[in-house]
Amino acid sequence: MIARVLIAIGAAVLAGLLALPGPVWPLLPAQSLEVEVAAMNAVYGRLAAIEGGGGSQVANDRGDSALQALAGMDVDADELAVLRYRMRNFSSALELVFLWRLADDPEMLHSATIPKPRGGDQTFALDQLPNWQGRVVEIGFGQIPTAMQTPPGTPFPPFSIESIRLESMSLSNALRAQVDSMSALRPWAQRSINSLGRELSEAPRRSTLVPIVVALATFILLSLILLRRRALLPVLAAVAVVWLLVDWSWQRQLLAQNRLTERTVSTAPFADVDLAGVADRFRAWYRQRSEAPKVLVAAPSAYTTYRMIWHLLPIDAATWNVALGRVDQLVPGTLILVPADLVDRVVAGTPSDSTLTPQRSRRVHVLDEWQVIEVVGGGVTP
Amino acid sequence: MSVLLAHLLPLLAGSALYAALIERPRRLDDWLRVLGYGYLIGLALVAVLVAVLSPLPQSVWSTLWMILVPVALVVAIAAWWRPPADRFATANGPLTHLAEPAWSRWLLLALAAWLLVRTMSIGTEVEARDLFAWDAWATWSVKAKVWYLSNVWLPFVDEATWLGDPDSRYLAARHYPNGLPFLEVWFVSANGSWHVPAFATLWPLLWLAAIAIAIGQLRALSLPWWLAATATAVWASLPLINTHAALAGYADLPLTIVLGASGLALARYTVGHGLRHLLLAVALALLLPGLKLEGSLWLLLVLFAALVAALPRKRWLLTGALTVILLWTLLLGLHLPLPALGWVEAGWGYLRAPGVGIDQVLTWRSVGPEIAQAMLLAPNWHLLWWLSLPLLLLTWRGWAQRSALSWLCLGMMATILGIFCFTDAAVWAQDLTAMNRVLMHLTLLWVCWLALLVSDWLQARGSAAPVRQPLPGSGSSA
Repeated sequence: MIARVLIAIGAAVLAGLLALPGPVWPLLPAQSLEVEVAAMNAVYGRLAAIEGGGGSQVANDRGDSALQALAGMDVDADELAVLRYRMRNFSSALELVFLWRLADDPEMLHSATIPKPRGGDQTFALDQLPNWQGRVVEIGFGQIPTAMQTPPGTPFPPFSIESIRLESMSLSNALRAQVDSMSALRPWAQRSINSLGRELSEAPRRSTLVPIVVALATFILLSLILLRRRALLPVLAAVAVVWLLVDWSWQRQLLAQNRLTERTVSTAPFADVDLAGVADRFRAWYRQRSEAPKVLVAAPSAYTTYRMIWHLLPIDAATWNVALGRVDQLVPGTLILVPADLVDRVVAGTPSDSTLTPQRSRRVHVLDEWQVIEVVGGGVTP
Repeated sequence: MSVLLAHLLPLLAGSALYAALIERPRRLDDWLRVLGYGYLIGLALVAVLVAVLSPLPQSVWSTLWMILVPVALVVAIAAWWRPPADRFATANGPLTHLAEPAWSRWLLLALAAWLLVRTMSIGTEVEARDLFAWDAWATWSVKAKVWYLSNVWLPFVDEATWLGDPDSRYLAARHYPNGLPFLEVWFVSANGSWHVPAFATLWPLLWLAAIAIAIGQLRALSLPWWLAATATAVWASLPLINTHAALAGYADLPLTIVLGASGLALARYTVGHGLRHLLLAVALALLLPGLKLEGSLWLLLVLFAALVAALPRKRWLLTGALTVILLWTLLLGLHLPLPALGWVEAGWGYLRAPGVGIDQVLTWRSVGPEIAQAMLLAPNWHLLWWLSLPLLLLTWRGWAQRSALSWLCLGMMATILGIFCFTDAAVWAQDLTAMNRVLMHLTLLWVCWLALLVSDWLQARGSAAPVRQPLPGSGSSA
């Protein structure tokens, strides 16, 4: 029976390898390009070579982000479709972004968030990125505060880039990419509540589950054929092992997210502290007024608009979109909170049912880059 | 301290009510059911009291605790006098069950350790952060924050009304039910100030309550500890479930748990545990529309499954009646008032529910790849949906034995797939937004149903499985 179970395990492993998104031959990468880290240019932050080799150290004493780039490359994206990188002491509060330019459109900068480095070599299959194609003339790495989690302005401790390699796809690289993708640390994103796995990119082209399921299905099928009625226990054990493997990868992500949360929350309760600060000062100014008018928020994005409204509550606030098409119904005294560079979305010289005229509006307060505009005259009497 | 009491008081009052009205606990798994259901019942009681009595929002805690304490005491005394029930005794005779293997105890210890780690991970997120997920702060908690901080139960109205009415508030999702906002007000009023973790802890606690309910009910349905605990751990480990417990604020997890608790109570009734379990199932199902609009739809399905359970000999008659209703709807159209949905009109190629603004032309939408991505390829559900099909095929002979749950689970799955394949909701499948959250509603019930089918299959298989045997000392009264 043990021999038959071993046969089933062997076949399952083989089937799982065949199901990997990549060629099974060659076993090792045929091409490899070592990117000289010391030759990279620090676009933001500092990049200093570590004495005695071992890569370069990245730091930024004044900002919350950094960017390193290497121009003058000539890489065939189809040939070198695997990125391998090793960085040490990478802050949990940072997001790692890979950037590249293509020869046929050098003005266009492509970017993708890639898994955070965890100390050892990290392998990422670039062929899953839609714009990794043609000839690549420049690559770079950016480090930015983790979106919607790390408050902007949070300094990060120095970290080192030890090695960067571009390699061709092979069985070993496909396997490494699979393992690293399963254990990739993906911080919560707004998408997480709806579907996981899209934290790093819009729609991942490959599923890490497919090779695992193929291997498991092969094992179950062969067990049923070879062991018949004695297959129950091996099958149950295989399902349990695979479930634990997948769940272990998920638990690691949860723990990594815990570390990020603890670190960032020790700095600020939420990432948009700057917005909350504006809301606090607006509220203090608002309380001094004799009346409590309605407030409309016009911000550059829906996210900023609704976050501002959330911070303003319980003030009677809503999005400016509510007034679109019915500006004539705005009661005099209604306040509009809008960033200075978006005032023309709210006030325009041409009469319209979706903008106020200069005669019907006046600026009554300024809060950093935000302005408070009051509706005056006309409209409906409350 | 008050926040802790705000969780404990509903737990005690609800547990006492469950013990007095449904079953008094005797063994560990009985206690799991009492505490799990007790928490749900207690919270429902709080929400109903807030809705009915409407004390000032900032006085909700100080007013209601004085009502809940005597209720808990009186009902606990009543529960004390009630004789403890034998969970394996049914009106149809004692349940048979699989023998507990020797390694079961080690498995349970391992699962308990796993649960501790997972609870700490989830708890860390809830305790540390403000609301994170979009609709948590843009939709679900807006009413609670406005009511509590303004200390007035202000109405939420549409845009045009709001612009001319200084005493109302605007919220696009104003028609969403108030169940969760009422509970949030209860917790923050106990805290004495607006503090998100004061109410966000509700989500991981509900997740723990669901674990207690699932293990407890599966045990009462005669599953051995190892199978009941493994099935529950399967559900509790699902990444999207964990995400909703950790990123508190959405109504989907509470809806999932109340629906699951209702379905499992129904399963108890179907094995002959007594009418009170049917009433509990219906009572819990009636809470669903108060949590989320989709709850109305699931309420209908639970009521139909309850009918199937209550009239087992008329199962085929009911199937025939449902077929006639479906044919009637398709050929002649149906016009029906439903809670929260309004006068629903349905027929060949159209569906209208004015209460929630649904006016749909029903045509086939090609969303197969997106559904596969949501259910199978993305790391949302581990291997749940991959394993479901082979397990269902393996155990298909047992579907009829669990007819009420089979109806409910397959009916929900068909409804979900129908909604995403035939209505404009296809957009939410394409962008992977609501698809997974609606699927989530089904998961607790689905996993427990699969566990029951597997248990039945193992019992029927006999020889290779642990021995099928009646419990010693089982009575025959329900």
